[in-house]
Amino acid sequence: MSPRTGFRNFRASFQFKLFAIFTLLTALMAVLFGSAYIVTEIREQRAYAGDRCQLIAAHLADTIRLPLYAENRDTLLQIIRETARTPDFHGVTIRTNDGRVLAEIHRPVSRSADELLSKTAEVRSTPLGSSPESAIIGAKNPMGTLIGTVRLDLDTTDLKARTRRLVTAACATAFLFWITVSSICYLALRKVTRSFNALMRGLESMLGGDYAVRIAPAGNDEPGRAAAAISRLAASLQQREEENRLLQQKLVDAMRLEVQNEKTRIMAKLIQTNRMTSLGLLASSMAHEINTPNGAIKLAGQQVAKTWKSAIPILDRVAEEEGDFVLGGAVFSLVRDEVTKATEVIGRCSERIEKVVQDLRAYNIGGQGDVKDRVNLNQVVSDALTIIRAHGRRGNIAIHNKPYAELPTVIGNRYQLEQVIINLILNSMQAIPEERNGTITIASGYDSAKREVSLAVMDDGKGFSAEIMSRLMEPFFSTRMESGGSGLGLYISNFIVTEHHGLLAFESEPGKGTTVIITIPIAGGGTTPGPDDTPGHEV
Amino acid sequence: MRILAAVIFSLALLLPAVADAYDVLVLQSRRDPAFAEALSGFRGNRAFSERVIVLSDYADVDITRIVREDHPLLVLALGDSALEAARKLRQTPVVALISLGIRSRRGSNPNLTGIDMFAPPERYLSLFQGMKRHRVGLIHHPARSGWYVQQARQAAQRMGVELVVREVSTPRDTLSQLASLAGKVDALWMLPDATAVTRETAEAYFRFSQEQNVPVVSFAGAYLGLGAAAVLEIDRTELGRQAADMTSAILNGAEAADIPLAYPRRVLLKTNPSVLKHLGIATEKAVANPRE
Repeated sequence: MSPRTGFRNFRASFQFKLFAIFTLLTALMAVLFGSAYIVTEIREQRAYAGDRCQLIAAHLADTIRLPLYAENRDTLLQIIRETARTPDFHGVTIRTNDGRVLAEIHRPVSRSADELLSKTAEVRSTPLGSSPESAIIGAKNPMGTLIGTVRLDLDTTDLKARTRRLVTAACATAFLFWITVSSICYLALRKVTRSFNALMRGLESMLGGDYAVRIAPAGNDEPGRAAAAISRLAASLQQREEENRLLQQKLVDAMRLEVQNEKTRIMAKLIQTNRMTSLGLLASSMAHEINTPNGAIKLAGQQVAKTWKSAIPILDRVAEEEGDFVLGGAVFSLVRDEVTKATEVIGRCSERIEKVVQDLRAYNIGGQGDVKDRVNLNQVVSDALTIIRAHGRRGNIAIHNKPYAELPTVIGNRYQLEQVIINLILNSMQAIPEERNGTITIASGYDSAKREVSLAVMDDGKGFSAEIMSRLMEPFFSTRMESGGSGLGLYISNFIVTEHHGLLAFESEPGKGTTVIITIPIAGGGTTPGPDDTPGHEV
Repeated sequence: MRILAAVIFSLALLLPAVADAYDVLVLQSRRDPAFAEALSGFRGNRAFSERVIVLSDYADVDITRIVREDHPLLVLALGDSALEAARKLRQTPVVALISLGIRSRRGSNPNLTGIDMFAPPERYLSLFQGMKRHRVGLIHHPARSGWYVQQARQAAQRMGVELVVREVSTPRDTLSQLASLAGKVDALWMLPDATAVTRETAEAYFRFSQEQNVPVVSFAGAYLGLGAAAVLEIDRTELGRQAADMTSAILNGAEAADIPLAYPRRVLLKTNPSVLKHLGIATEKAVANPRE
């Protein structure tokens, strides 16, 4: 701590403030009392000097009464020479009552009028004295007759010197009083504030984080008791701090473990995503590889059907002419319809392969995300079911499609919506245990009041708890993470539905299946069913 | 009818005059207990009809006119002012009391008589004798009290007392004359002399007494407090009675001019025991003959 900071702290301290107050009060008292004493003493001295001068003049007047009446100058001079022995004597003048100066003595030292204290006393006959007539009749006159006056001048330079000495002594006394009282106050304050200082030192140490400090109580006064209480508080804080440190360590360890697990899960998800991407590429490649021979098969089937169709009349006439004959290991009458059906099956299956591949490609590509058009959800469901069929049914799950007749169109990307529906159907399929039969119902609907269409995908699978339901929209959350779930299906589906200004809602209970409902606002144009309206069917 | 009215009017004018008729016109200098005391003695058991005029109550009083109008048989003057006011009266007899100027006016006013304020000198001299004092200093103004000093000298000679007399003409001379008595007297006699004793110089007598250790015998009790050892004070009531006797004599036909000025019949000796003790004078000797 620098001296400047130390002084600043000392100046802000309780001890310094009390000391300053005491010192100032003491100084004020010393000044007030000293001033009052000086003023009073100066007044007393002046009054005393005035009274003394008056008394000397009166005494002189009494002494010179008879010589003045007799106008005996020698006697008067003799008397006033006696008076001149007074230490501060400066001059005396004796006058008759008609103003004549009978005797006068002045010291040779010149003094101004300010330096002189002058008093004039009247010289009167004694009041007790009486004229014969008055004495005979007993009349009394309290005032004697005026004989003359005596003026006495006293030198006040000694008085002023005494006043200066008095002021100096009073100031010195007041200063000594102030110093003494201030010193005593300082010592007393040091003793009184010892508890405060110990308390403050302890608090400053604690403020620095050192809770191991214990404040030694300097007394049983309030600061001492406060110090003891703070020491107990510091001990308690120290204990809590240790406990917090241990808890923090445990938390850090747990977080490290959690981060490690999360890292592992993310890596697994990344691997799964990468795998899905690879599967997509593989599916594209397979689609291409399948499309080529499927085109050839389709053409060949068409060719065969066309050929068979044109060959049937010829073969009918042959059969009529020559009777039934064996063709391809069986009689013509049986083969004729079987081949016709076989060509139809070839064509239909070829188209089906083409459709599956087309859908597979479209799903893999992800659709033209920016392309938006009027979309009929019934048609989208139909397309999705085609792909599901290509995916193949698991076990014996029945899928019921219940399209709403004259369902209004929505504005959107059919491929994205198809992807949503596929995800939902696949989730439903996966929610149904393999060891039992299951049912998935897809139903569309229209709420004219809200001007929105809805699509519900319901299954009677395992269902899930509310806790799981609250996390379904999180990315990379999956209840089937161990069996290959990516945790992105519902996340992407929700994203797509939201992009279409719609909502994706879940209703589920464990063991009672799950219902997923998509609601999307209808297109602003109208309620006319789309061109690709598809009637309901079962898969 | 007119004659009757004139008679009634004349009677009405005469009635007050009849009512105001009196024997003695009392002129009192001022309202003072000393004058009242003397007046009470004057009235005593005599039944003079009188009119009292206190001069200090008026700014200016024409006594001559009053006397001319009232025709009193006698004027009793109390105090110097009263005596001064009555100085123009030539026909009406005047009896003066409590005044120091009676004797000086007696020459020009034959109708004036009265009682001096001086006690008989023998009384003083016998007092000095009682005090064993034989050289007595005395200061006076010849014009005022020369007659008395003359009588005192004669009496002193008879009684074996030496009088050391100093004359003054102004009050200021008193101080120097007193100084000249230092060491020459063993007692001091203070006379009721308005020049030798004034308010300013009275103190000097007693200072002299203190410095020279000699007793002062004075004429008024007022000086006892200043340091007089003894005084011979006139009994003012008796003074009034003495004046009443003179008045009776005059009213009975005697002429004022034939009645000489008299000494007071009764004087009282008063002493200051403390002063006497300081001076080493036995009180019982001093008051051996206190009353006369």
